Amino acid sequence: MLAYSVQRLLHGLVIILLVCVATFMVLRLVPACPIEFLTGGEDARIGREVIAAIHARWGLDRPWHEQFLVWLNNMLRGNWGESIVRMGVPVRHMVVEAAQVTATLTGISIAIAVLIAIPSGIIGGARRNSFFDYLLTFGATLGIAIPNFWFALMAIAIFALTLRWLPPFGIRSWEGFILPVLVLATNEMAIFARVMRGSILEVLGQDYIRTAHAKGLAETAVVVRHAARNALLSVVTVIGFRIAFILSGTIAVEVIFAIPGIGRLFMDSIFRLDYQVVQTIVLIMVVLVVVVNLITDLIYAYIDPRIRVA
Amino acid sequence: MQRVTVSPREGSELWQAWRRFRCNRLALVGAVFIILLCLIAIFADVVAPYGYTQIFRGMRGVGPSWEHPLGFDHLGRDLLSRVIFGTRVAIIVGLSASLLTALIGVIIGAIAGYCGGWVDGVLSRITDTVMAFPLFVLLVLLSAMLGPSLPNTIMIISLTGWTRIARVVRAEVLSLKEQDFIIAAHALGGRSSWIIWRHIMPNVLAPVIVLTSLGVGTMIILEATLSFFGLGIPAPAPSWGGILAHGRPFILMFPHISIAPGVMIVLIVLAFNFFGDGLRDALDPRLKKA
Repeated sequence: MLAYSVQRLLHGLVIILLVCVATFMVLRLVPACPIEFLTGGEDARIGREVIAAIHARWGLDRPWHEQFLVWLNNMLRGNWGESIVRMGVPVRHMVVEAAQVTATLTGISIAIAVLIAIPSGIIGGARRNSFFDYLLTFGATLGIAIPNFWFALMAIAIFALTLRWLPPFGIRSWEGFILPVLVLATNEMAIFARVMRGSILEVLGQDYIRTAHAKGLAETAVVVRHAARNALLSVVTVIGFRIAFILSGTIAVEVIFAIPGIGRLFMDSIFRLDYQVVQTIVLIMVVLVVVVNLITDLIYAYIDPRIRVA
Repeated sequence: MQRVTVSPREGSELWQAWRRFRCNRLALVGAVFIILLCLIAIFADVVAPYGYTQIFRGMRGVGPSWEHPLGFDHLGRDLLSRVIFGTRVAIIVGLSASLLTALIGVIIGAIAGYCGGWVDGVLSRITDTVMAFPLFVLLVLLSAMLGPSLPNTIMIISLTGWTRIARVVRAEVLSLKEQDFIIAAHALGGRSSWIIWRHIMPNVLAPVIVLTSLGVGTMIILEATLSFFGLGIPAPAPSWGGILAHGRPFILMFPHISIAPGVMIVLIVLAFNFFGDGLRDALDPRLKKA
């Protein structure tokens, strides 16, 4: 088990490093420079020496590998650097502030999604082909097919414009959270409910469930105590990965609802090529993914010894 | 031993797969809808009542009427025509990105599985690395690097989407290459490339086809999302995501602009998902768990 854990940990570190290198390279290959956004580009009335001095200030005149190593070294020491575009604002400050907003938003959304999706997935799977099951499958299929940026637009059109119940943008009051949470939670709910239902169906087909029935247990007891417990593992894995990959989902929602979270910070920073900010956000996201991956790998290996050997 | 024969005879595997597929009504509806959209995409010039850049003066944001069933966009262009031409973009991106994805996935998966050793190690780490990126983050980064255009959009989506196929193909090849008929082919002096092409490929075809068809919907959503952020198909080309992007600033004034393209995205994604589910049940029921 120890050897397996060390091997998985090393793989994780390699992946984190590769992702950092890839992000760094891709950013430098963009045919533009963040300093242009500060000085106004070609037609600016700023002397060449000044521009060169700004480049030197940010170390952009040094070779790529040197820039990367300096950045990596600083990150390892806990120094996240400063934003180029926002001229010296500490990246840590920007990212932590935005992360709190995103964490609140996704925390509420995922909690709501789990509370609704898991019981409905269990009921749908246990009462297969019932009216409720059809409704659930239909809803989940639709929830996966609807792109969340369009759902967000429609939610604004319906609840903010037509019904005038909620504010269309911003999170100045708690009411501003309702629409973004609705959009995010719907998407997650569809995924969780589908996985939960499939997982319950699979478990219900196994021998020990028949045994539980045979010894005279009530249907509810079989489903809740025997089936649901074992079926939960795969759902928990999916929930973990959805949290780790949450940025893919929140970018659109944060941009549309004007929420100052990580997703919007990422989009703003990439459009203005704020190297440090983009690199830091990607690094945090990848560490999150690798940690979730590591935990699930180890849990599965702990439960099923065959995995460790292979 | 070949799993896929060219002419579907009674009792052949392809024929049986078709019989299983035929029973799935949702999958059939999906297939018919996809064919319909392909026809619309091919004959968009004939089907669309107006050009997609034709501007009607004084009609900015005017709502639906009998002559213009979907109304006008923020510049006074006929929305129905733009949505029809948008079908072309969605179908082109969806299909070509899926094919390219399958190609990359199969090549990388087959090489990793067949060669093993350090080649497998390197390719598997690359696969893991691409998988560890939040998908949309990687798409945005690549699109910022390459700039928005139709071919670039197809390339970016393919470069990020091949990992699942590569993993499945690698696992299949790993288990296949230990089997007797492959060892026999080696013993007969077959070259590796020939063995991969002639003996291994036909056996990994089914899962690849299934995964590819299930992925088309995602590809279309990704294209729409990229275009929505101005990172996909550049204006004035009518991509559904692009139309939604233009509708967004006017969502409180002209909400009708944002309805039709979104409905089309949902319908086409549902159609491809139903079709893919049907194919999976018909061709490779083992994948159902994944």
